[in-house]
Amino acid sequence: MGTTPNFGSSFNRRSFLQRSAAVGAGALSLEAFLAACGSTTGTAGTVTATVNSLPPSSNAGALYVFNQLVKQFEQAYPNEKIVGKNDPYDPTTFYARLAAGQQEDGVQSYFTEPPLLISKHAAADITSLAKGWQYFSDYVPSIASIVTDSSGKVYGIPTNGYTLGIYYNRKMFQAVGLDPDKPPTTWADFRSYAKELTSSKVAGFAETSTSNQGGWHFTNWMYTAGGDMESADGTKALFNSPQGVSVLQLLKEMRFTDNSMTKEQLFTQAQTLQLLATNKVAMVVMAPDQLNTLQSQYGADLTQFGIGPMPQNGGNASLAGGNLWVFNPKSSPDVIKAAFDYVIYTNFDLGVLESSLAQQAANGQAVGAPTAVLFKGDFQQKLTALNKKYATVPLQNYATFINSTFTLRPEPHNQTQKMYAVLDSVMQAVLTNAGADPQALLNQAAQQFQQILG
Amino acid sequence: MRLSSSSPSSLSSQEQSRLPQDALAGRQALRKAHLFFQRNLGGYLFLLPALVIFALFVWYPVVLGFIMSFQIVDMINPAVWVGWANYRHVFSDPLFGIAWRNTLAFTGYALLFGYFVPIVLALLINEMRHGKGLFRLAFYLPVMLPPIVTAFLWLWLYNADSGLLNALLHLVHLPGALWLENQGTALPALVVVATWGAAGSTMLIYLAALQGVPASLYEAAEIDGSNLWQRIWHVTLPTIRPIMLLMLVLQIIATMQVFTEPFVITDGGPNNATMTVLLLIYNYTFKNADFGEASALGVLLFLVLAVFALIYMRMTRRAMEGD
Repeated sequence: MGTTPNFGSSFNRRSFLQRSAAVGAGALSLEAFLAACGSTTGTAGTVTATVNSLPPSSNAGALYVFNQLVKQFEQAYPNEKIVGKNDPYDPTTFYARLAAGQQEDGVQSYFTEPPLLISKHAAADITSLAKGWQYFSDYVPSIASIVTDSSGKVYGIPTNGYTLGIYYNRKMFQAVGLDPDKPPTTWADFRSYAKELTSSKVAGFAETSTSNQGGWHFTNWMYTAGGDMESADGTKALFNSPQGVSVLQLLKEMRFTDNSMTKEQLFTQAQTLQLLATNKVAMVVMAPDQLNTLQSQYGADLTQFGIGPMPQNGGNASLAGGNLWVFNPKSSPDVIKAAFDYVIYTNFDLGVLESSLAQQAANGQAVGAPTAVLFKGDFQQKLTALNKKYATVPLQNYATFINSTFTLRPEPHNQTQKMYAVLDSVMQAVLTNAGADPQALLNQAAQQFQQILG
Repeated sequence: MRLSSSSPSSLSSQEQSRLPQDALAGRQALRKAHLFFQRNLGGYLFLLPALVIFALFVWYPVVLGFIMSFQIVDMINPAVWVGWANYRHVFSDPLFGIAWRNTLAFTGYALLFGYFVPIVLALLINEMRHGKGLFRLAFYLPVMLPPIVTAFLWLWLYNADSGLLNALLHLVHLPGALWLENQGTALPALVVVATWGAAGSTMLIYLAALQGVPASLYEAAEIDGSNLWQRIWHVTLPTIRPIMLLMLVLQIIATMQVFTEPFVITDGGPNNATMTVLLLIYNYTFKNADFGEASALGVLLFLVLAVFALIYMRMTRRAMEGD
């Protein structure tokens, strides 16, 4: 703090001015103090970095594991400190928080985000750090491309990948005489299963259509039909194809001809997961990374649920997604390095990973959810083996999902979120209007999106 | 007043008289200023916190909004001036027309359904002999709910699969409706929510106005043999007309900024049937991180609302002069 204000009893104009100045100086140094509170190099040469992955206090087990990992990390890297914040990535607040200097130094985000983050200069260039890490060159090219821009600069570290599949309620399958070990494999099966599973209290299927998640899942369905969303160079919208129309036709018929979908619509993934967890819906599209939420948030018994691969209609593929870390471009290089070190240490140091998985398993977390292949060769095998070793989730319920050999297709690259936003409306239209014309809707959407592509 | 009888004789008589007058005028101005400060300084000091807060959180953002509407802003790098490009983008967005149409439709529906609700409620309560307070409270209660809570409450009431509204319809063997899933009913459904949530406070204002209507007018009307309806038409309504006009303008200004209901209940859906201008601004800002385009659309909305605000200010001034 600056000079200490004199709070004597005499009060004249001069002393008032002096006091004001003193208070002003105090405020100034307070500002400096606050600035210093941001994560920068401390006095003793230690660097503190904040990360957004602190689990909520409601999940005591996960919180315990997180704190243990941070402790271990700080022992291994005595000059680097990690402060966790419970602030899951939210695209609607990220930019404002970044602008206000409140975004964490290390941010766990999703595979969809890097294009916009990079174009908005909202992710730090970590090329030299990434290239200095022994396994970066082992990333499968399609995974590495998610965090790499056209000039080869690297902006993130993918930590786990997944593909979308069908979560289904095994009990409900049994109740209507369907084999719970044989989830639907084709669109035709899927449609008839949904119809059979529908009763006065349960809808066979629920699908997302807001917050850009309608476009996201449309893309997934499109891949199962063998269609494309945009041209490889990202300059042309391609989703108004016969495959695109067939996707909408399927959903529309399920909603209005079969009545096998919820009447209520405009869902996000969080809502469809809740419907599944509360036995209101028999099947939803979801990725394995939601198993933990299903268990921790809704207390669901995971043995009652299965995961099957996406039902196919000629595409033999499904949409891949995943989590990755990006770093705050406003943070100083040594702070970014601390956050980067933490990410690598906790996710890819095999010894640490093993003890972390063991702790997670011992603390009631859902461990072992089937993940997609991130790396070429040996390293991936070791990661997979560890995941299997400590699995607490009923892997036998996901056998068809794990054994499926469908192509994992990445999300479209150019203007992804805007494309999804345009397609949200299309999904909403076919799910809420029995008279909707899929071809006309898609043509209109493609025209709109083409305008965005320029 | 003669101030300087012993002035030097070298000055002409004209100069002699002018100098002291200048000094006098200066001194008078000083004294006036001194008096003004003495009288008002306290007042201005009291105003200061409000002025600072308004400047910081209202006027400064407004000015910044105008500036940013001509820039590309990513909040990381320095802003880049792009002239009218943001406005061109906003105008060419297919959602631009849809959002304005929906916003105007919402304002229109809100006038149609919502404008007379508080007037009728106020008239009814004003005519009551017993239980005035109870009904006043009952109709005002929704105002005390946070708008988010109101929105979530109605989300459940409207639920197509298990909502209260459809359950009631089923009780009397009527088919339920897809209130929020139907592109035709989604917007009116939101108007009902907004009206339910806001009518109470407007009703209180009307009630206050009604209580200001002189009883002698009613007595005179009754002596002339007028019935209840005639009394309302010929006495009540003409007397509260200025308030009704003010409320009309205020309601237009408020409903054109509709955001909470479409944001929470429908997220602009289905198929953009409830996409409003403010929700579009939100999407530009927080979904696309296009701060410049968001500012451009914000400026356009600002200009439209400014017209109504001017009308409002003119009306209030006239009303005050009328007093």
